[in-house]
Amino acid sequence: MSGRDDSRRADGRPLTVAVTGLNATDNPGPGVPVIRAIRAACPDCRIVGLAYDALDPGNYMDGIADDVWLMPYPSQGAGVLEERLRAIHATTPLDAVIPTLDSELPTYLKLVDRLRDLGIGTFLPTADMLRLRGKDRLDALRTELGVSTPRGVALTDPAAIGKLDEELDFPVMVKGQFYDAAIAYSPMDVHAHFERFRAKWGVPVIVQEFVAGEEYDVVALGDGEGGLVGSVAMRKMQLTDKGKAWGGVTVADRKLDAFVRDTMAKLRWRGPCELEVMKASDGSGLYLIEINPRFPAWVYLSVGAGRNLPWAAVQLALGEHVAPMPPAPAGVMFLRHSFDQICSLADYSALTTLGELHHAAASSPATAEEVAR
Amino acid sequence: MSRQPYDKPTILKHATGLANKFGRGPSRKSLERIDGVKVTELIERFGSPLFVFSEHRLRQKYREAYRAFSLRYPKVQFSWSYKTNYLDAVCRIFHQEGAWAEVVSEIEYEMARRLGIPGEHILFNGPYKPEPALRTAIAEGSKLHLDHYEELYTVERLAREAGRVVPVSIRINMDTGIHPRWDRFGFNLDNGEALDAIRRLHAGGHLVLEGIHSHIGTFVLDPEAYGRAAAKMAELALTVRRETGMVVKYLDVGGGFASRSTLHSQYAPGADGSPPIDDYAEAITSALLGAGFPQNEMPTLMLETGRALIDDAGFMVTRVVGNKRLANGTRALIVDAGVNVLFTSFWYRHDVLPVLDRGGMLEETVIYGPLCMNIDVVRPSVLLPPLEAGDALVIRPVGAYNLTQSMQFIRLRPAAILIGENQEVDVVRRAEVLDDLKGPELLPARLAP
Amino acid sequence: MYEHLALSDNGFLFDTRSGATYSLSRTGTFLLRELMRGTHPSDLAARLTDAFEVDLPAAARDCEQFLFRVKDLALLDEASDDDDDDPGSPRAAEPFGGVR
Repeated sequence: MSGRDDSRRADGRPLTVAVTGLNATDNPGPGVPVIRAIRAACPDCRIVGLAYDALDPGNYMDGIADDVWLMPYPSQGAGVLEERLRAIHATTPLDAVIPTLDSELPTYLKLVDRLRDLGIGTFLPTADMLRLRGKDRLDALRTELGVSTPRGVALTDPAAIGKLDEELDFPVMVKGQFYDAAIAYSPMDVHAHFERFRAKWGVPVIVQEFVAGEEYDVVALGDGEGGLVGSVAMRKMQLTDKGKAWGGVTVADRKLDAFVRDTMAKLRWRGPCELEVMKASDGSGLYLIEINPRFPAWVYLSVGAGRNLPWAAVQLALGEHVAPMPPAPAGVMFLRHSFDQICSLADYSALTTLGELHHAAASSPATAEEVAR
Repeated sequence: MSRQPYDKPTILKHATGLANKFGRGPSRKSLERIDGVKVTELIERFGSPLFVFSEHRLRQKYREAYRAFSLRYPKVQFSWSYKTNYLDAVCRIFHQEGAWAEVVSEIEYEMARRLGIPGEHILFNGPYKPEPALRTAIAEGSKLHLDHYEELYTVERLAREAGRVVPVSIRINMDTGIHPRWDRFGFNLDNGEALDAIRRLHAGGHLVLEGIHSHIGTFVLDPEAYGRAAAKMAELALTVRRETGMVVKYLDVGGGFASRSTLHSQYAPGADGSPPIDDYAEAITSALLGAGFPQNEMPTLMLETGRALIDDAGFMVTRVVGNKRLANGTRALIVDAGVNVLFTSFWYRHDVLPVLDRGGMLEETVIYGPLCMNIDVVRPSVLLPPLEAGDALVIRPVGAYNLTQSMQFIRLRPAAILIGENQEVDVVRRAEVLDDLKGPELLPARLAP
Repeated sequence: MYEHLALSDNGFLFDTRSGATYSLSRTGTFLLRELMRGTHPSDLAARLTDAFEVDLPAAARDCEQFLFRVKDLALLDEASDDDDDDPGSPRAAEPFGGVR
């Protein structure tokens, strides 16, 4: 880095970064850990939280967002989002925005050029990359880009289940197009899961060869030209009942590092992502199971491992050069916890009625009388 | 003390566990004018509900689409899909712009002929073409698109009877990687049925293959599916050329491009999610240009684009009949246009815009039509400001299918007007009267009142 | 009497008894405030026309619907151990009986 003070812009105001996904619930969005990572590198940055719900816990947490704005849902479209961002930008000039949720990415992608014209930087995957990571396209990643994924087919018609064994070896994983997965040992099993997932998520239903082995989650940041800025690989130690990581430890495995570097190069991935990788127990190697096109909620572990990827993403969004980081050390562990925070009803009132909240100083919980004032 | 501006008194309970929308949220939208003409004046003059079409948007969309394809490919011909909207005025606008007619029944065929379209500029599609209609079509030289073997045999017999060789096209269906796969129309390509049918018609000696047609689906959001379809059709045409010597003169990729409308199942608004027409053009034309046709045998590219040309040009103007609170507290509006005239509400999340927003809190509202039927729901949920009975709303885009599929169940069909490019307003279909509904009926004398 | 309701000027309402929270429009805030001050429901429309640019018939109709809504939400219900038949209670007042 150059010697200048990162936290100030040329006009003397603090570097201001907007971050979404403040839903720090039991199935958390990545916003709060991303903000903590940015704060770790840049204590004087101003952080603007963009929340979809007045009850997102991140809105109220001490030392997270300086300002919180309620946002229209992505389903309202790019026009409405742009209007809201412009209004925020007029009050609090933004230097960069880091969207962290799957559902909002397509909408933000439409605005990348307009945001750049406003002076707001982003560093996101392209629309083409988003299409490629669709679950029904994983097989195309293997056949067209040579990425190692389990063989798979996208089923639309149950009549094709009978012919599955010509293409795939059982057992197989059956996956809904958005969520859900189940293992199947026979075409009969596939039939049962197919009907269930079709009813719930529609077609296609994806069938993939089952890879038995160890699963690793990797947070990675690609430069969009085939280069890897940095990555941290983690093995889950503790799971929630939804199978999400509640605790984990970094691993250092040269083969895994090489696999991640190779995969990111083939994808020419730009921006953050989480790769789910299986190391096959039969020794056949590593397989990419899924790509999530954003930081995972456990991304703060990258700070612990000395590879602050969210901050690197901010720098890239600002157009700065970031040198590639060496592989992360093994043995850095995290455990998530939850605690009950006392919040101010007045803050909640401000968010619900005005749609914005500004944490000037630490606020104390308001009583009903204070609200009524 | 001076009085403050008024808005309707509202109280909304914050739902537990549901996302809150009570902040300032989305920007408020209203629509006072269509193409510069005040909506309230339209209601005063022509009543409510009212179909409104914009000539400017129709012509603009057509030119945009034509340009997208003709810049990329040397021979392009659009045909207006009558079933999407067969108002004479609408058809004439597209014909003036250069479109032929694409019809799917004998009455649509007659409509096109009455509008002065010669037989050779009519593409005749559809799974059922009665024999008299086939005779007329053959005599007038229209482009017959065969859908199944029985039709092939019938047309062959009629050709033999007439003692001539009749050019025909066949409709094919195939896997283009999209869901659902439409395989009920035409002959299947992937299992070899299409090529069989072509060999069969060639062998009979009375038919000659002129074109290949497909229509892969509706509201297809993936332009690459059309690229795959075009590539497969081109491959079939080249196979036919090799095997039989017949030169396929045109490839018709049908319709099905998405408009800016929004399916209920789509998360983002259609305006964000629907690909621009250039993407479809790029996928289709690059497949054809890369297929390997000899330079002097490049087939004409035919298109039957319907929805994508007209949807945005159609508006439904309606008025609030009443306000309601459902038992669970949900706000409801009754309006005078229901699924009887907005059939596409079953599939699409139309924009509903107040003509005048007097302020007040936005609230999730269910919009019911005027029918005495539970299914008459125009929007299950839309954010709207408080509205009074008599207030006007505009529903859009509704240019495709709503008018042709409208019905007379308990209400007569409303008028349709066209706003011209100089803001002139013409009635292009008058509001129906009772005789339009009851005219065809006959009452036996013994039942006379 | 309505000390269980904490209503802020920007239209945020907290019902201390039920824990429920609400948002009100400017006029909604005005009307609820009037009710909490003891204004009789039958006088609400007149207060509304005094303060806002609205004519009396429209105000009367809107007040009627607003009161029905407030009643439906059970905001002004007395605590169960209160004496009933409080003459000041809007619950017992005429407009509520008439709305049904």
